[in-house]
Amino acid sequence: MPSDLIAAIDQTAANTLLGAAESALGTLSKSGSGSLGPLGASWSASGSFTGGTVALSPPDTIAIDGLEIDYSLSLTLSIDLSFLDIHIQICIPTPFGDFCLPPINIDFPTISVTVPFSSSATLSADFGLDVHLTAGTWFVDAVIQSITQLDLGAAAVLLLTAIGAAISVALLAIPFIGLVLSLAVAFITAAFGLADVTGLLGPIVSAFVSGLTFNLYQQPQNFQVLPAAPPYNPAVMVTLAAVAAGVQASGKNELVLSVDI
Amino acid sequence: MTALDSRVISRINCFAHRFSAPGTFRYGLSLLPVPASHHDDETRVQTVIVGVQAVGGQRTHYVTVSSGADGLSASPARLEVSAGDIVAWSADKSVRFGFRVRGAMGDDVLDSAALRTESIFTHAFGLAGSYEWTDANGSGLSGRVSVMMPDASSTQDARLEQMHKGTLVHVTGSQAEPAHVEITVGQTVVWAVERAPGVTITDRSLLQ
Amino acid sequence: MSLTGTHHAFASIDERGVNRALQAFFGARPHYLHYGSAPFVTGNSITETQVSPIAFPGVAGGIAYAIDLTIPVVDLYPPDGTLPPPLVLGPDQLSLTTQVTITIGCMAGSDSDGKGRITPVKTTLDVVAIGHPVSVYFSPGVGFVRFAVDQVLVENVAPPSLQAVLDCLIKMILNAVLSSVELPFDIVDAGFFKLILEAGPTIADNQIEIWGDVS
Repeated sequence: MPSDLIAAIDQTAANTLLGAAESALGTLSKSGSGSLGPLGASWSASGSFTGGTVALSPPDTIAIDGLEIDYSLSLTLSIDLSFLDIHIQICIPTPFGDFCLPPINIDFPTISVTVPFSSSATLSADFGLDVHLTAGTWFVDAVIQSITQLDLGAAAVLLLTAIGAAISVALLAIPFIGLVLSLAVAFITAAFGLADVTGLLGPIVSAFVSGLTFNLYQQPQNFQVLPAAPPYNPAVMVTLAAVAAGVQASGKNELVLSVDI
Repeated sequence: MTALDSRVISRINCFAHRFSAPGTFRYGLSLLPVPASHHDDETRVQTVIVGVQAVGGQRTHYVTVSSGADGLSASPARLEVSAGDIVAWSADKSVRFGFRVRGAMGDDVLDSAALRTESIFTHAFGLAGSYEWTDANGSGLSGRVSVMMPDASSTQDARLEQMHKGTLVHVTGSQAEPAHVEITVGQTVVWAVERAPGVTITDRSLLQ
Repeated sequence: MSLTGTHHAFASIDERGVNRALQAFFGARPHYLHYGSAPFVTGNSITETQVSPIAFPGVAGGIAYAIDLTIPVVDLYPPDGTLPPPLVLGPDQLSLTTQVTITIGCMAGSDSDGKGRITPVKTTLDVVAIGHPVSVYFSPGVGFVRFAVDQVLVENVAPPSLQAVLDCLIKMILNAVLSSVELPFDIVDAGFFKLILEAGPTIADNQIEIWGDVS
């Protein structure tokens, strides 16, 4: 039996609604840990989504191509420099006789290097429609089902450069590091490369994509047709008894919402 | 920890003294000034017993200062040396904030925070820069240490070898010779002090 | 054939949906169906609307009256059944059936104080009307669909001149009542989008349809 209410949009309108859904999603925050070669790494990041082109595909698939994830990342690397520890032994003639100082042991610490970084990635994925009534509200969500493409762009190269610069600044602040700076740099340079950075960055970006959901429709089941207009006009309410959503192909691919009241 | 200040002996410093005459040096270890009379309590007092000059020449003895639940302690707490020997105090890893050696031998007071004679203070410089130093006790004694980064073209082995070379500054009274020295990062300056009115070697920026 | 056609958005409400919306509207605001002067209605409330009596020289206090309607039932084109002639339901039209009860406060005789006694006298008329939807659009997502009555037939009335009088009277009353009934675009598109109205409303296939774009 046909539904009481039918609302349909084509792909052009779907792109307009996608923009609104992206804005409504706002900025997401994620955190986690991993490794960069032999170095421990922890991170916190925030990300938001913009852009993308919608293609509707029956019976219930919304494909989004070129969805951009703009993210800001704070990466903290832990570097154990104890391998640089050095032992100083000095003997020097003085007016009081030859004097050999007690050995001086220079212990290099484990340093934490924080690397701020911002970039963007591009995503293409298929989303499925999820209609549900939760706590008295109808939701129609587009939920990510499969990623067809995730492009980090030049971010890995840029992050590698940023990490190098941050480590250099951190090292120079360590007393006595000048003696062994070349050793420190050589070790750190050999410890990880572009592949390791990509291996760290990929899961960070993926954390934002996993379970990505855009809300396309949200209305209370007890739906207000007209607001109250005191003193003699109470609000006019109807019940959205059932909601269904899908993609239909009849000349144009359209996202169709069907509601019984 | 890396500040240039002989008033606090840290892990990159050492304080040394040549005991030229026999006697018993009773001393305490502290961060703050402690009256000499405080050392009468033998359970808290470390000692250096100086005997007659030994045959065979001068020796250097090492005392390691540690920090524990009961405060600072010296190892060995009781040391027997010969006249003319040098005793050097230095800190181990447990000492976080440094220490001061202060005690008396007869009527003579020996204080690492007020260097008088036959005393040595050393400091290893870890960061490049220009260090203007002076006497915090106001004698007018002063000087400068210029610390340079190692030559970029030098090899790692050459740099490490340089670390084992010290630079001497001879302090007589209120004069330092040379007043200005130039070293590379990692090297140590040794101040040998004699006939001075109880001076410190203190970074001028700490006194502002 | 796509729903959106040459536009980007489409919304429709079917006959059952329209009737449920009307039930919700008049159920919440019954005063739009019940009108009367004193003594039938003593004041405005959610359930009834007070009107002035019909002034007439020599009738003390005027002629008291009341008008009561049942919730109109709408039939969207194409018609579900045959309409009483000469009414014909065409494309983009709706028919509307209701019962109108007219009550007169008939003043006869006098009571012990010498005042006129009012006795209610009423008749209930079966009314069928033909009308069409009208859209009012203000801005994206803001607007509504309203109904206008074009033709009314009060059944089983004689002579024809009386029927003509009642047809006109009921038509005016129905248009006045329906002028308060507004179906916001939100109920037509279930709040899915903010509609920029470009075409409609039209009536076909038992539903009211509108087209446009989204913002």
